[in-house]
Amino acid sequence: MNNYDLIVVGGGPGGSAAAKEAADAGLKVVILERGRFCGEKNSSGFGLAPKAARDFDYIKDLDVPSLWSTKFGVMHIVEPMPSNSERMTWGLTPPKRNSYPQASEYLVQMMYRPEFDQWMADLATKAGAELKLATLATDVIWEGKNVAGVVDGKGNTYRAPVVIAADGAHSLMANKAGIRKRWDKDQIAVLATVDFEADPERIAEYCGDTNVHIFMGPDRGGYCTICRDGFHIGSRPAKTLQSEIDAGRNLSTRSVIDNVQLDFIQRLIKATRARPREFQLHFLPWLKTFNERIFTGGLMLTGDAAGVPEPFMAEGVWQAMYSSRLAAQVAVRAHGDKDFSKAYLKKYMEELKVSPVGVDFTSGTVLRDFFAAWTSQTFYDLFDNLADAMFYSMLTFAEPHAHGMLRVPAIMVDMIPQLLFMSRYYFPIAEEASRDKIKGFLAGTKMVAPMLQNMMKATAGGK
Amino acid sequence: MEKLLIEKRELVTVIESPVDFISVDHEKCVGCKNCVIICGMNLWKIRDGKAVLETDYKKFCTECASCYTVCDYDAIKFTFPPGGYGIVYQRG
Repeated sequence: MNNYDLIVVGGGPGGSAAAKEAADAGLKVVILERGRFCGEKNSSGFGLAPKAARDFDYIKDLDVPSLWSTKFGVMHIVEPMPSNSERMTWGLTPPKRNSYPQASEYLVQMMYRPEFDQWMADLATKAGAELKLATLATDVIWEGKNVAGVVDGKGNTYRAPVVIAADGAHSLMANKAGIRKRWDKDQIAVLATVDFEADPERIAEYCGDTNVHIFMGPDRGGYCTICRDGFHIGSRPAKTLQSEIDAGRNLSTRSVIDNVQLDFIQRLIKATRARPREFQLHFLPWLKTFNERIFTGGLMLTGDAAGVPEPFMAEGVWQAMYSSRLAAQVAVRAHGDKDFSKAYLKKYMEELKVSPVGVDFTSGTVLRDFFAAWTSQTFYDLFDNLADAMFYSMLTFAEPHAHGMLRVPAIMVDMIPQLLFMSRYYFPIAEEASRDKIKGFLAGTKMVAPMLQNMMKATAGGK
Repeated sequence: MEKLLIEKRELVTVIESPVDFISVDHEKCVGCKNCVIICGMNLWKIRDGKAVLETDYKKFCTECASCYTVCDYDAIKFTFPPGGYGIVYQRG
């Protein structure tokens, strides 16, 4: 009775994207979701990247109550502890130079996960997928070397020649299928988040077009993401479980409690009559390199279960949707070719590796370190000097303007070590990203060089 | 400005699991405190050199699996509460 063409474990955006893709292609699909509703187990302030609108046609119809496209985002450089003030703040609209239109329309689309996850699950069920809620998949069924189904916590069995495990960072399916016992401590970060409920009218008045704030300062940082009737205060990112163990204390939980005390947040709380509503801990993979161990016979891992969040800020929802849809496409092809072996499903990993999801791991190690450096003293010093340079060159009220402007070159000299510090990260990233282009350029010059030599007359240095 | 306190345990909604879903093997545990450090809900303690979970952990655990991940001695077992139980994020 419980026979399917495809079992999807996990009803998040990844699982639903996979189920919709496969159901649209005519497969009989079931989604097993352990929550009582989709999104019940997901946390962290959520912004859907414009990449999702580029790659998934249906995102243009996205309409949920808390949806708020970010037209303006603000960065706050916060003074060292114990101050709660900002040293410098700047905001910006989406960039003008872009390869597709949505990226110039908004920075991200902010909304609450249960709303988005249920909207995605509705797409999957409308396409014909079956959704089983409150169902925890606890084990896999083997047939020879292939996974051929799963068992739920009540002992019910579900059979299908292929399983997509989109069951989150702590993936029981990855464990049971023998792919991974656990993540390394340096591959996981935990973000603590406090959700506040607030007066929607006051939010609209007070925030205007601005619903994303990022905070950084020496050894501190975090974020605030605002939806229609509330907002999230998030902890400092850029720390893995390993660094928390090394520090001997829980940095993310401490960080979110500190962030609530920031002057800016206190003003937001007061202005919008906000009060804390929910405390959340978000366990997310934060890998430096592309993870190739994401498949076995009859089973593919996608989304957080596959470790696909990108190595800079660990953004992961578009990655989950993209990897899951690709896995569903491979599952459809596997049905056509009647081959669900490990060798066949390797195509999923290979295609994901060269897709935009895999390419985002270019220079991943340096990217992750660079993001971690955002909360260093040197990074703060750079903005501290920049603030002074801008003040004296543009808006000094403190001294005769000409005298103020004379200070600017000295400030720029002070910034040289900080700029060099930045370039330690930037240049290796740029070099790796442009290596293919440089290779092409060098190959080109090799061809052109003999021609140039022929064209050039012998000069004084020559014969 | 009056400072706001965050009472973590008052801010989580949990449908208490009828069964245990975390356990610790005291034969393997060396009392290294990794789980104590990492638990965002402060549910672990060291007693007589061994890690112990608070008896009412099922009321507060957010199922993040950090304790399982940081245990270098493979002493902690972690699954999830049965389907339909456990942490409820209405505003994730």
